[in-house]
Amino acid sequence: MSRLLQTEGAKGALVATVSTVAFFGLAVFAITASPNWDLVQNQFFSREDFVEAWPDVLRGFWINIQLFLISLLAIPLVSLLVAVMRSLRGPGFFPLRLLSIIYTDLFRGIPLILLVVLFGFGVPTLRLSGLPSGARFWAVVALVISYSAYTAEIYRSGIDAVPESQRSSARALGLTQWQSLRFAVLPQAVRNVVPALMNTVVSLQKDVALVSVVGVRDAMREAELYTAWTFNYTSYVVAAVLFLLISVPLTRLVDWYVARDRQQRSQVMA
Amino acid sequence: MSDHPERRDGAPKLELRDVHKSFGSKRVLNGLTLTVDDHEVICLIGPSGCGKSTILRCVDLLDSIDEGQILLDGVDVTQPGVNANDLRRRIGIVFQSFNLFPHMNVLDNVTLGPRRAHGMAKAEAEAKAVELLKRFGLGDKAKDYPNKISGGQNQRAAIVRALMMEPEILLLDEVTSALDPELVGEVLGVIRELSDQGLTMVLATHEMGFARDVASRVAFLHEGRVLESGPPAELFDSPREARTRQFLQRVIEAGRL
Repeated sequence: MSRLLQTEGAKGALVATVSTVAFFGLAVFAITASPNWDLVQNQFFSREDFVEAWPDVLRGFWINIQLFLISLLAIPLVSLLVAVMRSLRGPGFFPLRLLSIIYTDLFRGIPLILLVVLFGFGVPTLRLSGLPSGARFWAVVALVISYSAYTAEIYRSGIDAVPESQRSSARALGLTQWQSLRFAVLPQAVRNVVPALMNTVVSLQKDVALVSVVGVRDAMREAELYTAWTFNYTSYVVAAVLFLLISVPLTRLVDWYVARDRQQRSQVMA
Repeated sequence: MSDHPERRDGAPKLELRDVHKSFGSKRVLNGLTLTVDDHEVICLIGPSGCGKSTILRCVDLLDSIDEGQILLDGVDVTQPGVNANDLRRRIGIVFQSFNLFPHMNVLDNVTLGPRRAHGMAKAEAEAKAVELLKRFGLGDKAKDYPNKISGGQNQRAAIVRALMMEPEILLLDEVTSALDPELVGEVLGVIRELSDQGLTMVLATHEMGFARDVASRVAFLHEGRVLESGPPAELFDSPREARTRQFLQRVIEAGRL
C-alpha cells in the first residue's frame, strides 16, 4: 500500500483502491449469482472436504517438493553438459555435437506427459539390472531429460551471446578449448541466462505434478483418489492451493532477481 | 626472450612465406612474405582492410591460412600436428578492443594464462603479476574490474596479460585505435619500454609518428602483400612505390604524421 502511494500519489491510490474493490466485487457477484453456484460450491469449495482431503494431499505434495528439488539439482548439470558438447569446435568433436543435437531435437520434440508415460511405464518393464525399476524414479528421469533439453538451449543462447573475441583471447593465452570455455566463456554465459533459467524453475515446480500419470502418489494423484472415493472435487482445489503457496513466492523472487540484475547491468553500462 | 631449443641455425625469429588467405570470396592475404629477426620491432602500415590484423591472427593460429608457410624459429607452424596451444604460449597477442575478461578483476585476468596454461602456482603468478602491473602503472588497479578502469588502463592490463606468458614475440593489433586520444600516449609508452628491452614485436598500427620513432623496420601493405618495407626514415621520407606515397600523403593530410 505504501508503494502504491509512492508511485501513484494519494488521489491515484484512491482511484486504484475503489476500482479494484468494484472490479473484484462484480466478479464475485457474477460467479456466485450463476444458477449452478450452489452445486459448484459443494463440489469444489466444500469446507468439510477441504479439511478431510488436506492431510493426504499434503503428504502427496511433500513428494512433489522432493522430486522438484531432485530435478532442480540434476537439470542444470545435464543441460550444461549437453550445451557444452554442442559448443565444442573442430572435426574431432563432431560426434559429440551430433549427439547433443539429436538429444535436444528428440526430447524437445516429444510432449513431456508422453515422455513421463514412456519412461514411467516403459523402462521398468525392461527390467534393467542394477537400475531402480520404480515408476517414480523413471518419471523423474523423464522430467530431467525433457527439461534438460530446453535448458541446454537456454545455456547455448547464453554461450552464443558471449563475443567471439573472448574465446579468441583465451585461446591466445594458450588455454585449451575446454579451459577457454570453463574460465572465459561459461561464467559470462551463465550470467547471461540466469533470468531465463529462473523462469524455467517456476514452470518445473508445477510440471512435477505430471508424475501422477504413472501412478506416483503426489498431490495430484492423492486429489484424484479422494475424488474417486467421494465424488467431490475439493481435493483438487487443495492441491492447487498448495502449488500456489510455492509458485507465487517463487515468481516474486524471480521478478525481484531479474529487476535487480537489470539494474546492476544498466549501472555497469553507465 | 629465451630462444627455443628446436631453433634452426640462422633462421629468423618469424618468417611468413607467400601466405594466402581468403574469407569466402574475399582475398585478404595474397602472397605475403615477411621476415622478423630477433629484437626487431616491425610496424605494419597500410589502409584498412589491407590484411594487417589478419597476419597477426594467422601467426597466432587464431585464423588458418590457405597457402604458404609461417615459420617460427625456422619451424613451419602451419603443418598439421603442430600443437596450437603450445605455440600460442610462445606468442603474445594484444587486440584493438583489449578483450579483458569482464567477469574477472585485473589480477585474475593477467594470472589466468600462467596458471592454467603453464600450471604456475597461484601465489607465484600473483607475485609476478603485481610486479608487472606496478611497472606499468597499474599497481593500484589489481583488484578492479575491467569496466571500472579507463580504456588506456584496460589496454595496459591486456599487454601485461600477454607479457605474463613471457612471449618470445609480441603481436600488437592496432592497440591504440579504440582509445580516446589522451589515453594513447600511456599505451605507446609501454610499447616503447618493451622495445627498449629488446622484445621482438610486430605492430599493426595507424600511429605513423610512433612507427617512425620505435620501429626498426616499417612494412607497407597493399592488397594482401608487402609492397615495400625498410627502415622508417627511408620508407616515410623517400618511398619508392606510388601507392606508398599516395597512402602517406593521405595520412599527412589527415594530420597523423
